[in-house]
Amino acid sequence: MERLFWRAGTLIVIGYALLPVAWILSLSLKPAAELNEQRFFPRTLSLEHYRAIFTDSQFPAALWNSLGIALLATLLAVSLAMFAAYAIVRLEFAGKRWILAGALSIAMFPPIAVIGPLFNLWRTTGLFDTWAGLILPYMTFTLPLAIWTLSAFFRDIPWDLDRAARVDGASAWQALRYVIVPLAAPGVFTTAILVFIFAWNDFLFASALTSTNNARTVPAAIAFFTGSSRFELPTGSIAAASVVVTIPIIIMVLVFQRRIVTGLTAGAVKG
Amino acid sequence: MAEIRINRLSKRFADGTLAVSNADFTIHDGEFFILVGPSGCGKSTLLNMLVGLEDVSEGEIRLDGRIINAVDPKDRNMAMVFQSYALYPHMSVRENLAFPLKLAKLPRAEIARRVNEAAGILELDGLLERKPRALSGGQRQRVAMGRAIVRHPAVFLLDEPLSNLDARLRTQMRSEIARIQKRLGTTTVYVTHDQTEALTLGDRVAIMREGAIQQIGTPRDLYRQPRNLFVAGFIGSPAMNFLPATLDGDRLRLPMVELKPPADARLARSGKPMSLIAGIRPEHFTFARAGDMPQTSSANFRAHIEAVEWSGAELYAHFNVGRLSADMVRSLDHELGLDLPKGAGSRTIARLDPDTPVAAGDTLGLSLDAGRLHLFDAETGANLALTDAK
Repeated sequence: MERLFWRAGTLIVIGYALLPVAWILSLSLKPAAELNEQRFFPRTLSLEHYRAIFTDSQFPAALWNSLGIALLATLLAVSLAMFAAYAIVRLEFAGKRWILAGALSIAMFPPIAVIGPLFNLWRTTGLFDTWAGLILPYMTFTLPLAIWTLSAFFRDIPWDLDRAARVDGASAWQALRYVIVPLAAPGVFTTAILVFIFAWNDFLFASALTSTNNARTVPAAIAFFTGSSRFELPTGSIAAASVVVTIPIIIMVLVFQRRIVTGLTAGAVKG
Repeated sequence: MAEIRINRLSKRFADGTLAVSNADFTIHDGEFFILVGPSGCGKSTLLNMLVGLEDVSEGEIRLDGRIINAVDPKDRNMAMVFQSYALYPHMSVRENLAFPLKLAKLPRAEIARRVNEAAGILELDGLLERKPRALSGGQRQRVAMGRAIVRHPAVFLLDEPLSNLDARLRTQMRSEIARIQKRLGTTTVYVTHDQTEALTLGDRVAIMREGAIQQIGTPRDLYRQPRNLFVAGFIGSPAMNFLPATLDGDRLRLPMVELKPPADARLARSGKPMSLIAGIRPEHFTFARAGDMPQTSSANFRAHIEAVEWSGAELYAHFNVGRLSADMVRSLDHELGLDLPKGAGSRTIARLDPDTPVAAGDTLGLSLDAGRLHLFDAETGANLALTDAK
């Protein structure tokens, strides 16, 4: 009875979450003429919307921008946060609490409040509509997120292992390479995925701080899609673009989930 | 083959605390040497300095005559077993055992041979492909030992290796460690807070307190001739009983009896009475049947028994003898950290034959072996019989 309840509950939640996605998938596969037919399953399948978005110059450029900017922002945030989190967990220094508190308060600050000033600032400094112009503001929320998750992960690493490896004959570098890195990797990958998703999905900064194909990312580009005439909504193209834009996220999670083995450190210490 | 010479070694942490002060002793080749003391006494810090995980503030450590103060831990050829075992969780037991050998760049066949040899000694044969998380506490402990012995190191260092095991396993592993050490004949330094482990395992034992070595000697020496109150109270279970004593001329007054002071006690026999602390171990009381003749060096008295603990092989009778003076409470507090309430009676324990007919509430005739009495200075805690003999 209880199992049945949980199964039904799970199905309802999954259905609720996936229905809009399925609807968008269905829309993206319908030919233009059938878009307004109110049926869930398309009568004829067509890839014309996918062809349309990829022949247009706007979408491939946006996809490239999205990938590049999100990957760079992730790489920068995670590598900087690794150093910060390591210091926070392993070293004693003045102002340790303030770094964590500061990171949290920056993350809590509403981004919409800085958009206006940032817009003017970027115009004068020439960062407007460039990759760097998006990566920098992305760091304001990806870095705190990464520092917090990584320090939580690092705190769980049994650091006695580092000392054990040194006594076992490892140099400081070998101890890091053979013992600490394999244990820290799952945490780093988890953090990277989280950060990447945040950067990839951002619409606010992307729409305000870009104006051309130079740096406009997919979420912003979709908003600028136009129909073939002024009387037509680009529903099909938007649906197709939305499907395409979720694919990298799905791939990311599938590739890395195997490396996020929880409980990897279980059994290292104590009995 | 390794002799460790520790020469006026001190460790001062950045915050100014002196964790180890002026340790000076030699650990002989092949010896099982124990560092024992209450938590925070600096024994682990001393061990970490030996292995190189902690810098030396002052003094020097010599391994076979060579100063190794600045040698990197990886080059000291010492193996350590950590209290937490510190097994590498992402490696199987085999990989854990092979890790130090791989780092030493041994040929693959030699690594396999040594891993199998260590696994044989520690009975780990069936577990080699398991990950540490699939092992029981005792098995993890064996793997940690195995990782230390595969290297054939010059010195074994063990940091409270048994404190995470349950009582039964602890006794079993204790004898196993002793067996392995005897078999390999490797110089071993073993840190523990458990005086039983220290007495049963050690060839020699060093007792530490607040960073300072109190006494070094064989377990027998420490038990029979404790240099001061701290050592006397730390070694032995149940602990030595401490009683207020007054030396007045040729008489030594205890709360329950009056004796002639032991001949070897070098006491200042001035005219005025002198306050001392007398120590007597529980086993140096015996049951005295009414009418028995007192032995030459014994003193009989009657005690009101408050509690009785019977454990099959032995019987512990608890009784109170008089009140402790404020001075003595302060002195015992300081020396032993006993935290006695003010004006406490001195709770005394006698270890008697388990067949002794006694129950709580009885009044029992007891006899005290005066030859086994220790006398300590109430101010300094020094054993008065030994002050000159040191």
